Amino acid sequence: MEAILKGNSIHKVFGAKNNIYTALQHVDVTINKGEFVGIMGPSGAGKTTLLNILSTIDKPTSGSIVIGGESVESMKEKDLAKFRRKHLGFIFQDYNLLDSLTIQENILLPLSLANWPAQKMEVKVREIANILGIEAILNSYPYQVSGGQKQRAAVARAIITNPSLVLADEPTGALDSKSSTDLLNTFNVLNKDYDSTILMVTHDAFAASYCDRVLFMKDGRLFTEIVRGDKDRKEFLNLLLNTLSTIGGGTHEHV
Amino acid sequence: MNMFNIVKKNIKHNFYQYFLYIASMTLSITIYFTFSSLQYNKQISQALTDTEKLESAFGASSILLLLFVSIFIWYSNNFFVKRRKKDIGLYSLLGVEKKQIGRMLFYENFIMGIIALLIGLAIGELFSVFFSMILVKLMGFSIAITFTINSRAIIQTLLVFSVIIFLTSLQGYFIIYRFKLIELFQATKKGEKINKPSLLLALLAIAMIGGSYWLLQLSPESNNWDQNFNRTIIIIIISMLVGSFLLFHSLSAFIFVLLQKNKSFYFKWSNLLTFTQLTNRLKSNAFMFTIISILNAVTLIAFGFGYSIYYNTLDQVKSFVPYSYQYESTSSEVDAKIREIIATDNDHSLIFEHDWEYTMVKGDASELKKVPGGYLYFDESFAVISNTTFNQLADKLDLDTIAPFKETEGLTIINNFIGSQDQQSNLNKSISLHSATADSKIKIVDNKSFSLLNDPVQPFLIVVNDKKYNQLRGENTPTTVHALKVTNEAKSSALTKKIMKELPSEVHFYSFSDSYQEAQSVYGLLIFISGFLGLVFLAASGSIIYFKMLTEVTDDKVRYTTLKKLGVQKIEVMRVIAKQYSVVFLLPLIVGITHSCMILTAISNLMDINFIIPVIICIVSYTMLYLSYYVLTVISCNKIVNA
Ligand SMILES: Nc1ncnc2c1ncn2[C@@H]1O[C@H](COP(=O)(O)OP(=O)(O)O)[C@@H](O)[C@H]1O
Ligand SMILES: [Mg+2]
Repeated sequence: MEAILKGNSIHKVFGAKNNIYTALQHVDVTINKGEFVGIMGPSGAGKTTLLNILSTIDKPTSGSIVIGGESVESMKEKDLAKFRRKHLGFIFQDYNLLDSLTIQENILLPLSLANWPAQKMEVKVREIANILGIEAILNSYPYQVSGGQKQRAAVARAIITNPSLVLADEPTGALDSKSSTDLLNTFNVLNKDYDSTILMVTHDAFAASYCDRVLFMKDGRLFTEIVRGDKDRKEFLNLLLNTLSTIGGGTHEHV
Repeated sequence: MNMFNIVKKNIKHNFYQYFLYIASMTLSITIYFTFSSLQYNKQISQALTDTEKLESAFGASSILLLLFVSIFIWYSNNFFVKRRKKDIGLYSLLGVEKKQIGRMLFYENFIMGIIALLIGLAIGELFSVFFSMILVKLMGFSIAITFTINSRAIIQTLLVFSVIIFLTSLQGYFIIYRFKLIELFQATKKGEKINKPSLLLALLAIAMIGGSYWLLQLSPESNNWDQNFNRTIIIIIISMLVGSFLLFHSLSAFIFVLLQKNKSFYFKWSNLLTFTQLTNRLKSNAFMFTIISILNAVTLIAFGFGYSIYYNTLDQVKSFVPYSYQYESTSSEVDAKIREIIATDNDHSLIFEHDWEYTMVKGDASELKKVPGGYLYFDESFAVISNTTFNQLADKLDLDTIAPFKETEGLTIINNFIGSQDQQSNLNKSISLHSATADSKIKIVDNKSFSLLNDPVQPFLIVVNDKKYNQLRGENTPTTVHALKVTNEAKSSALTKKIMKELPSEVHFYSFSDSYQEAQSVYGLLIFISGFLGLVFLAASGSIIYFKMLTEVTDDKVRYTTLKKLGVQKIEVMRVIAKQYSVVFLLPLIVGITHSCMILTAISNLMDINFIIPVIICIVSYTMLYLSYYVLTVISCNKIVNA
């Protein structure tokens, strides 16, 4: 299997001399092409910190990151920005759509950043919106649509450039259970039918049960890893819940 | 004590917002104090012969300034309080009593006010020395300004601002009673509704602004202007104001929709971010844009006008004071003595010396459309000169000579400072000159606009045929004018003093240098006050945009963070900000400049003074200062976003 992302001994320390907080302690991660990987763990475990570092938004104190064969730490701010544009797609808990743009404009922004011609952009937006079922709201503004629709728009924005890796930080965190399920099914479709590689942080076992593989974090360390294998989703969910109860924390609101 | 600690912590925590508020208050106080120090400056008023002018000019302006400063402080206070709403809500949620919160806000405001007052007085004291030097220079005096503590100005400033600070503090006290808790918590509205561009309103904007410009350009000739001056002015001002608002409100939304149609332009990411952000804020910005463009226009008009007059002082004085010296000759010894003084002077030499005469004749001018004030001033008399005398003078003064008239014809000379120079309306009308035997009717065949006398109040000059003149001269007493012209007359005040010593005190003596100095001191004062107010208005418009943009960018921080996560570089974020703000700054500047140019053109037509060069200088320097606010704003906002 081809590794799309490799994090080696990632260490992250916050704060100044007399007030140091170690958020990540020598974490090793590998994500292979076509995988749908989850990261779980209680609040404060360092999930977001890890995701930010893997997605080049933040820098590790020590350790190395290789994405798609390119070593990230040697890159300058300018190159990093270009790299993110080209290879990564982001989905955030609070959507982070721009209020002043319509849904369509929000979705095509990454293409516009890549200097696509206007006509091709519109065609592409239509295509993606079709997959995600949001054609009807393309000309609405974010404040006019529901949370689930906003998150799907955010997904559309994240995948429109066909990134090698989609990173999602608690994408279901602000959604009701129906919208969550819809979104997770969409992830599944993207992963299975369109070959997207997805890394999703969540503290919700139900959401994590959609993944192929789930990494557990606690106190800045990788605690364990569970692979779904041939298990069906229910079984996998129970396995995840059991693991969670052994490390403490985590929730399970759906089922 | 407890309360005091909370206030202290508050200030520490929200330092930036407090800093902005204190800075804007300090600015207002500094400006006001500087201005009143100048108003009561003893050195300057002693140097002026006509202190009444100084006092009335400063008095009127200081009321305007005070009004302005109060509005500005009220605006910043509102701005500040809005930013603090959430804190206030939080205290109240934590169970702090309303009364306590009110008192806290009162103290907070009051303390900041006092700090601003002290800083403002200190800076103002320094500024006043600096500005009085400028004023003295502009008025053409040569006195050295010394540092003085001006108690009257201090007391006045203290009084005025204590009241203002007390009132704004009270406003702070009552804010907690004015809002419901839920209102205090409401986050800044997300996504304002976007204006539906209305073609009707957009056309109305064009029509109103176009109409007011058209009316302005009609000014000098139109009868309507003459007859309904006040009404016309009011119509122009109102349609300009409303038109500007509609322009920003509707026309810009309309243009935006047109831009949107051009997809390859509109979908370019930096354009997309810039224009959507602008239209998104259009509703709340339209009002600000209108205010700023009006402030810009008023500043440019006041300063452009003042500077044009000052710039043209020498020409103006030259056109009203044709000779370096003019006096009624008493004896040939005095004349010789004066000739001698000029001959021995190293800096000046005589260009010409010429005696000529006119005769005051009573007459009737009722048929004329335009009659200069001198006619009534000299008891309904005309100052009559002969055709030959006129041609001799014209020769000396480099003017066109005229062909001899018939006995019943004449030429008028009218030189107005303000008012249309188009004086051909008197042509072919007649006047009559009284005489003991028979009144003579004279038909006006021509009119000239210049001065032939140095007198501050000039009689109504009329040129007639030589024979007619000799007849009138026989019946009335002629006045002899002794006129001298020297080189470098603009700098001849030393020579003037020497000459004056030789002349008997009862002789009417009018010198170019005195008139020039007088004009310089008056216009210097004018340019100073308009320049000062201009700077104040500039500071105000700059600060208003600066505050507004700083608030917006703080609210928009998430937006820029998102962009950076999507792979937009810091430098690109700054470029987007710079692009967006360039529109915010330039739109009101362009509208302001256009408005002021239209109005200044109308004034210039009315006064027949060339405004072009001084107005260009003035617009360029204003734009530079204004753009420095733009740079400051972009830098500050970039710091907030890219920190
Ligand atoms: N910028 C920061 N400065 C200091 N501490 C931070 C910062 N970001 C995160 N932390 C700390 O690191 C730890 C991990 O945070 P985070 O990765 O957000 O956890 P989570 O697993 O809930 O996403 C937390 O204890 C948090 O307080
Ligand atoms: Mg987190």
